[in-house]
This record gives sequence, structure tokens and C-alpha cells, in this order.
Amino acid sequence: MRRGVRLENLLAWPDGLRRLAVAACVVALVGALGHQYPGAVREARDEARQKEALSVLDREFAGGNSIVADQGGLLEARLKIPPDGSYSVSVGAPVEGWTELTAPFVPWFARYFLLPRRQLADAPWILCYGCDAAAHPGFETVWVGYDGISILERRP
Amino acid sequence: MTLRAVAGLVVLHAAFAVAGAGVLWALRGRARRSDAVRLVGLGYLLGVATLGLLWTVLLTLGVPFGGATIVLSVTLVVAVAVLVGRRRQPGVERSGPRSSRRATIVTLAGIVAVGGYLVALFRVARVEGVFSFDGWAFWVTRGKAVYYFDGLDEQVFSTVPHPSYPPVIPILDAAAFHAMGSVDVVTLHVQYWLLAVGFVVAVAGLLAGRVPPWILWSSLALALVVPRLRTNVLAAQADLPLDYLVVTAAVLVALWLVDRHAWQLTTAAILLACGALVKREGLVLAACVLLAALAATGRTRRSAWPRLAIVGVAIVAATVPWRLWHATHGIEGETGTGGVDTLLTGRTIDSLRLALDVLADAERWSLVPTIGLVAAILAAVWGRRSHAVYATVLVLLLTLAGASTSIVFPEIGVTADEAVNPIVRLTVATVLVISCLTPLLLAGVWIGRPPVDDASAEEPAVP
Repeated sequence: MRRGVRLENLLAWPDGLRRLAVAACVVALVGALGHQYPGAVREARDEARQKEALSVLDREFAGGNSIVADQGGLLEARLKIPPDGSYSVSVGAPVEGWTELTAPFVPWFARYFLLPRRQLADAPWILCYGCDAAAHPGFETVWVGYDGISILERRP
Repeated sequence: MTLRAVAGLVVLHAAFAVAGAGVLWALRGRARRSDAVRLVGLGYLLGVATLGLLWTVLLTLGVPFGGATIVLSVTLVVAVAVLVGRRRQPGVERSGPRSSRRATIVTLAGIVAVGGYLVALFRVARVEGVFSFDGWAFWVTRGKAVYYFDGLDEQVFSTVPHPSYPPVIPILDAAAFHAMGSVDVVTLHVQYWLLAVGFVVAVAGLLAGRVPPWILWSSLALALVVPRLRTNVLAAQADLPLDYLVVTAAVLVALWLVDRHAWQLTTAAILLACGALVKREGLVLAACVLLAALAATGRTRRSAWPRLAIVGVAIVAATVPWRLWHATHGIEGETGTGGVDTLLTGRTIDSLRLALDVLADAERWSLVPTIGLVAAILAAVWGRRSHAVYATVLVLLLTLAGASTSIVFPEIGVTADEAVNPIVRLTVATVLVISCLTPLLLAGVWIGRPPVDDASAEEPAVP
């Protein structure tokens, strides 16, 4: 069939109008796609580069980087507290280096990060964020890091 | 990311695809090779849903969740599917017109465009961290708990935020950790990438042959790159996996409105049942799909409505094991705090207005809702009216469901701020539904209204 005849059939009244309407919708979709697609690919590429540049630890902490202040506290807790052990989190007054998210959310992030160690109220280990060690009789400080973070262990 | 971890994930997801292909075979009979290839994405999502449902039941019964459970349950699903499938006649599927050379070229262009973007996303997925609050505060925390404690651990599950949220995503995360050989919370994002790929392949496969490729791929590709969707497609949380299941089920139900093949409705039921165990609102979204189907089958209600009712009952029944588990482990469900008083205040109007404003926001969703609206109007005039009714009612119900959050929970502010109100997140499902139904609506208009609009020909119209 010649192209002209085919086009004539395609646009013949009354079917031509509905086909034109569909074609117009698809043109709009393709136009929107042409507008969005390059930006989406560029964003993905930039994000990949940005995240490739992060250290392994920064990727693992990810959202926690805005909460935990110095990463050393939780990393040391992973080393000191045995995997089948338990701990509690004691948070005191904020110190320099903390963000506004540190005090309210560090117990939540610790629960995520330190699993399978369980977060329990009466645990033999305390992850201390600016807490008063004297308020925990029977515990001794076994590690002190930056930003007011320390780890206490119940004396045998 | 390590190659070993990625390889483990690929093997796990291949197992989902094999199990799902088996279930699909059992439901619809042996497929021609071309159909088997076309439906590979649907089979994959069906495998995820089937095993998600099975693992939820097993874990609520206290069965330890480890490598052996994963392997045995996949084997069990495949064995049962093969036993049932062998008894079935070959599946009868209406095949589309033979693809022309031009259509093949357009299809390849669509695959290249979508594939190019998905490859770019994979580069992010392999180095992504758990940045979202919901991700680390409870979704991945619960996944780690399932992995470390071999099941639904009461101590962890009862102390994280939203303890009554269903367990399928944590279970899938735990399965991924077993497959990767460690709790690799970075490579875990490749799992969410695979789910996105599976969803695209599932929808494209369902619509291929029914929708001209130039209509199908323009809509599907745009859905992937709209600004709001591309910001969280890899987030390690349940929102998008839920949307994939519900939207794929919604497409299957749309096809069932015309074909009335039992396998389409059964497959949709399995996907929706799993959705109800992915997030609490999965039940609401399933209700939206079924209510829209009820509205679109008014003329054939004697045959259609009992089937849809059975699907509804099956979906609710699938949630019972989890509900029993959390009720017997001291975890209370989170119910709305608003009453009739809240419903009758200006807050209801404000919430509805907000939901519509968010849906109409072209900066978030580009032209998807606008073209969807035009497509529904065109379909009502020139296309399949059953599809026009179904799509319109479904989008309206999903919008109402989104608005209902700040009505049922008056403590949630009526704002599009995502840190306060989940309306934007909830609208993703609506936009994906529009993106996937628009090609079907437009194809119906392009082809022209058939002499018989849908399976309503089976029954005389009820006066």
C-alpha cells in the first residue's frame, strides 16, 4: 500500500480523530520523556560517583552519619560487646560534635547497627553518650572516645 | 559490594523467577515459548509473592529461617507447581498480531532506553547505603533480626517503631543476607534494583502484544524517570515493592476484565495478598483494586462479583497468620485516632485538596497524571469503556486512600512535607497505576471500540 493511501486510511473520518488524539498523547509522552530522561541518567551517574567516593564505613553508617557523631563509639562497641551480648544506651547532655539528631536517635541507630547484640534495659554493657558514669554504679569505663562517647562494662 | 554477594543475590532472585514460573505454569497451563519469555517478569514477581507468603506463614509458626528453609521452600513450591501444572492443558492465550519490523525496532528502542536508565541505577545500587530513616530504624533492623535470630524475634520486633508493620520485606532482606553470605547492607540495594527491573519486565510483558510498542514504551519509560520516583527507587524499605505488586495486580485485573482468564485473577490475588503482608496499606490498596473491578463489571456482576469477593476474602485470610503472631506477642496494631468528628471537619476537605494537588504536581510526576486523565476520557468516548471505568475509579480510590491518612490520623499535618505526611509517598502507587494503565487505554482508542467491549457478552445486560 502506498504511503499516501495508508495515511489517508489512518486519518479517515471519523477514526482519524481518535487516532490523532492517541498520537498527540504519545507525542506528549515522548516529549516529557525527552525532557526527563537525560536528567535522570545524569543524576544516577552523579549519585553513583558520589557514593563510590565514600569510604566503606561511610556507606555502612549512611544515614547514621548524621546521628552518631564519632563513628568510633559504635565500631568499638562491635569489638568489645560479644555478638550474643546485650547493652543499653545512656545519653546525657549534648556535647560539641553532636548534631540535633544525636541525643534523640542514637539509641535507635545503635539498635540497627549493633545487631545481633541486643539492646536491653539491664544489660552488662553501656554505650555512654555524654552520660554521667557515676550514675551507673558497678560499671567501669573500658573505652573512651571522642565527642563524649565511652563504653562501660559491669564489673564482675 | 563483593562479587560473591551480588552472585548470591542473583541466584536468590533466579530462584524466585523459577518458583514463580512454576506457579504461573500451574495456574495457566504450559505456555508457548514466546509467552514464557514474555511473562518471565510476571513469573519473577509471582515467585517473590508466593515465597513471601509461604515464608511469612512458616515464620509465624516458628520454623527457623535459614539457608535450608529457603532452599527447601523453593523446591517445595516448584515441585507442587510441576505436579499441578502437568495435569493442566496448555494455556490458551490470545496472541497479538504478528510484530512488524517497525514495531520490533520501536520495541528495541524502548528496551534500550529503559535498560540504559536501569543500568545507570545499578551503578548506584551497588554502592548505596541505608540513608532513609525508615530504612535503618525498622525495615532493615527487622531484616537483620530475622537473619541473626532465625525468625520473627519478639524482642526486636516489639521495640522498633511501627511494630505491627507486616514482615515480608524484612524476610526478603534476611533471605538476601543468607544469599550474600553476610549482612551486607550496601549490596542489599541490588535486591531493590532487581525488584524494580522485575516490575518493568512484568508490566511490559503483560501489555506486549496488546498495546502497540510506541504507546507502551513511551509511557513505561516516562514512569521510571519522573522526578519523584527516581529519588527513592532503591530505598531499602517497603513502599516501592508494595507498589510493584499492587500495580502489576491492577494490570492483571484490567486484562481479566476483557479476557476473564481465571489465572489472571488468581495471580492478581497472590500479588495483592503478598502486598497486604508488605505494608499495612497493602490491604487498602488491594481493596481499591477490587472495588474498581466491581465498578467495571457491573453488567456482569453475577459471574464477576463472586469471584472478586473470593479474592477479597483470600487476601484478608492471608494476613491472619501475621495478625495472630503480633497479637499473641504483645504487639498492638496501630489504628487511627480520628473519629467521625474529624471526618466532618474542614480537615477532610483540606486532605482531599492536598491529595489532588500532589497528584497534579507536574514537577513530581511530569505529564503522567495529565496524559492518564486524557487517556481515560478518550477511552470512555472511543475505547474500552470497562477499562475507562476501571482506571478512573481506581485512581479516584487510590487518591482518596492517600488523603485518608491525615483524616484517620489527625496528628499528621495536612502538608506535602514528606517528613510529616506520607501523601507524596502514597501517590507513587497512583502514578504507577496511571503509567501502566494509560497504554492499555490508549491502545483501546487506537484500535477502536470492539463490537463487544468486554466479557459482558457472556451475560445479558441486567436491566
